[in-house]
Amino acid sequence: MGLEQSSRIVITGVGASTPLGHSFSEIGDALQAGRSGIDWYDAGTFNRLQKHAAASVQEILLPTETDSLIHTEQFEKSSRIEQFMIGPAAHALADAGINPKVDSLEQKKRVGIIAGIGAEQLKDWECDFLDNGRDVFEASRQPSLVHRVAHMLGVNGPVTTVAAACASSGYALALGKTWLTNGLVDACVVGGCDVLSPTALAAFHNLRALSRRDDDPQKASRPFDRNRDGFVMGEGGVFFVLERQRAAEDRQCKIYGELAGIGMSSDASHMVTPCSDPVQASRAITEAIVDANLSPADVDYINAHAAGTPVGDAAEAGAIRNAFGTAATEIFVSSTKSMSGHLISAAAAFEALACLVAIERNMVPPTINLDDPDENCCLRHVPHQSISLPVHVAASNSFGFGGSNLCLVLKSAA
Amino acid sequence: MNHSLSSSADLSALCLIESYATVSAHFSEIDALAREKHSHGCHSLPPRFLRHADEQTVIGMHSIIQAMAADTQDSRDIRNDAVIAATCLGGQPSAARTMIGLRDKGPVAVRPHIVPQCSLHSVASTASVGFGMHGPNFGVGGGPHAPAEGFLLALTLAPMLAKTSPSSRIWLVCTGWDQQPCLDAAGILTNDPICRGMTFVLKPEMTPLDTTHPHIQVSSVKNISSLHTLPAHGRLKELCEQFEKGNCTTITMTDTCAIEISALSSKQLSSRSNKSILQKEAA
Repeated sequence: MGLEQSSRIVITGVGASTPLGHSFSEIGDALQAGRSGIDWYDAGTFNRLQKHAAASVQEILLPTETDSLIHTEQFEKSSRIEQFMIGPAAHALADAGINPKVDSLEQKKRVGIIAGIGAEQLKDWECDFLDNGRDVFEASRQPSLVHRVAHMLGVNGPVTTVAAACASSGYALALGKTWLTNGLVDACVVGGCDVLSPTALAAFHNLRALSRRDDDPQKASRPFDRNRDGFVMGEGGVFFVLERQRAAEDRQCKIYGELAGIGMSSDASHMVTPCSDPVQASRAITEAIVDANLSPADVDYINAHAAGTPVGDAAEAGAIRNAFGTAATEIFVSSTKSMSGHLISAAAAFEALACLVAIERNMVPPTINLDDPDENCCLRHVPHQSISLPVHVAASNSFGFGGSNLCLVLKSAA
Repeated sequence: MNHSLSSSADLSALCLIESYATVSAHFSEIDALAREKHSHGCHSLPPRFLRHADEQTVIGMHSIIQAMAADTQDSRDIRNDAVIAATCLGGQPSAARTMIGLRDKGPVAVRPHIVPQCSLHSVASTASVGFGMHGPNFGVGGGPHAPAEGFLLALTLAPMLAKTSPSSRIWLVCTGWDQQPCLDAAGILTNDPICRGMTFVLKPEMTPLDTTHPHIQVSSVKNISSLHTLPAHGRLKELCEQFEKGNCTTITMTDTCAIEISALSSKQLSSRSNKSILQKEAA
């Protein structure tokens, strides 16, 4: 095993471009205020209108701090999904005070990247096809996005893409923690990104997974509510820098929190529908709490996966009750997807960010639109408005198609 | 602020190779392969389970069945095993047909199956659901580096799995095309490329005592002893050829880090692949 196996893994850099903002503080303000980032979105192509409630990002910002890593011209030439990775990843590195181009030359550290992206090639091919390209007919073996971005950022360590549907970016955090724990890298950029696209919206719509409410888009995402009818898709990119706590303290950089525990399991039940038996989902939660050397009662806040689907929310409520036992009646639970929409591959990373906000601000973000809680989702909800509460430990659930279950436990660094 | 960071030891987990299998088939043969009964011993897929599956998923599942047949621990419980699937440019023909449908008929023509069946995660989730494996399941790679990244993440997952579920194993499934499919503007295939699948059944070993058993491990580039070194973006076909020649193979991941795959045993190699498919390929 690596030399520093017992060392804690902490988050020292955050970069984000999301429907709720482009910085830790901006997103924190939106979550605290219970502000929705959802609106009507036209995903039409070929002169067809395809109107959905969706959480889109109007402009993907290139943070000024990253000018030394990425040139503006290079950023503007990149595709939308590339921008959702380049901007937040570069910003996270700058936020952590790491410049791989300089540090690599000094050979002082190895920086890796793990990106959670579920269907990168599909998005690339679609983007090209809508622009009259032929890539999908004659695909080339070009390096995947994470390799292209690693090259741009000057990252010299191992890089990879992982996919576990809506839990993808959570798997990136979990595996990045292991790279650090076992000494493969000295710092790791982890997170995920996804984009709204006509094909994805049509496929999820035809699967009857999306909300079909047509009154007010900001009312469409209603996790745990009796009148929920599906999720609202979103887009964005969220990346973090993970480091060993000892190294972070030596560098005297800001520590947002500790990635204290991870738990993973699979339902092995159905390709699309969540399993009604909570055993495997609750196993992931329990493993994460054990991995963090905590007990269920130590958790102050649960950021639920709850996307607003009738089956999924009820299944998760059962898993939470199963994993937390009697403590489940005391722990506050909310779904920030009510505000951000479902960022698909980037969802787990966004929700880890929401947990860090909760820890920093001692605040539990709300589940907006929770007007009439479903009795099948009996939990200690936080409807409509955030509440002030000391938050030292937060757990974040992510469940994906194909039965992938993941739980991350985040702790205050103090 | 002091920005210097320290270096530390490499990932030193090791995985024993308990089984290995490869399968290859032409595109034109995959539809029939999807309809075959997929079973070995007590493990079998539900009927018509692969009817919507992408070509690489079909080949990947077939290679898992072959690896089950070749497994020295045949009767072992696989319920808590993990699946990692490393695919390269999967789902391309389905994606082309979907986009033609979107253009010609609108959103109503987009089949919902494209979401679970044509993403990077498809092979892993199909294997997990199909064979009832409750350990972690995820996809890795997506591009030319996929097999190399698959080996690296198997070694990443190994210490975690060894801690939470000590008797569990990792099924590493790598798939890819020898040449990428070419389609015309109507979505009709104009070539008949070979799709290849390779499965390793790996047992995490945190306190390696017997390194003479076939195994994989992370090593420093400085310590590479193998004569057979492949780049991380090498084709799956080349990788399979190295294994099947009985070579110890090294994949270079970065300037400093490599994956070493020791020579497979003759027993592991003798049970490789679906003979009928290989014979067709040779013909």
